[in-house]
Amino acid sequence: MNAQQQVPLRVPFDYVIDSVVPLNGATAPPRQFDEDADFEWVMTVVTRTSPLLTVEVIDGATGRVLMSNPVNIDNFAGTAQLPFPLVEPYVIARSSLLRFRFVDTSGAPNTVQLVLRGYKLYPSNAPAQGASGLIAQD
Amino acid sequence: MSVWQKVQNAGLPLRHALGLWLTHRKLASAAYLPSAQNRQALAGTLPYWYVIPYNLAARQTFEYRVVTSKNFYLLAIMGDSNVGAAAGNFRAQIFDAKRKLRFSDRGVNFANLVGNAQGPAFERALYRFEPLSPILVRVQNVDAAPNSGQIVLYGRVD
Repeated sequence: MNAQQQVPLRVPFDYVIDSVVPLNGATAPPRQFDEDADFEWVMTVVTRTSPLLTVEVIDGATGRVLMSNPVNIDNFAGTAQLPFPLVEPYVIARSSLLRFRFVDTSGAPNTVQLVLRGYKLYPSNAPAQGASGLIAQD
Repeated sequence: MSVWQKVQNAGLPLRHALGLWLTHRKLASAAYLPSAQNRQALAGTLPYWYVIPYNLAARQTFEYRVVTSKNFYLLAIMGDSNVGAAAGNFRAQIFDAKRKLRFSDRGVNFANLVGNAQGPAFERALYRFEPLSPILVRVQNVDAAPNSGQIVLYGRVD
């Protein structure tokens, strides 16, 4: 490891996306990431009223969609007991914006809470300072 | 493991080991997940989900093709069915059309092929689809009832 490379201080953090999807309708709540630290996305968990729900993740900065088609919610996120691990954590830069587009096909209002579980990355030598620059890089 | 401790995994600086952690298996879960050497290729990649939706009448076969835009590293296969994975009497077969490779010699029963997000069917070693590779999936419904759902190939792109 490069001696100049900072080792991040990992603070557990959950980014929560709450939405009530109308029956057979769609919502696309944005999620703005805090500007104090980069976020290391490690696991995904969800609760929902019905599994008849799809999700699409869109990068707000580029408009890039992270999937070729909407993914059924139970194929995208697990539960707190059995979370879906990304295998390789993904670092989201601070102040980024992701948009989550939910579509319900259950025929009833669907209350969903999607949680991106991971760690905020602070400089370990000055955690109060925040992430002054990208501190997690290869 | 304390989150305040520095991660000690050799060759994986600054990446948290919980990314590999399966709660219902051993911490390292080495038997089920790509090795550290394999995961080196994933540094700096973007998560991506290739989705194969299907809607099959009774005893119908369906082929779906999706083309990768960049290198795609397959990590896990998930899926669902409206009749349930265990009861659903249908099969799927996956091909890498660019390399003319197939991932099974015949259709694999759904319950033997896919998991879901709570228990994904992880690949033990990474498989890389080259850029502009058509991924061909053939789904066979051998049941006398209609069947719909999707197969999801989770992985990373450059």
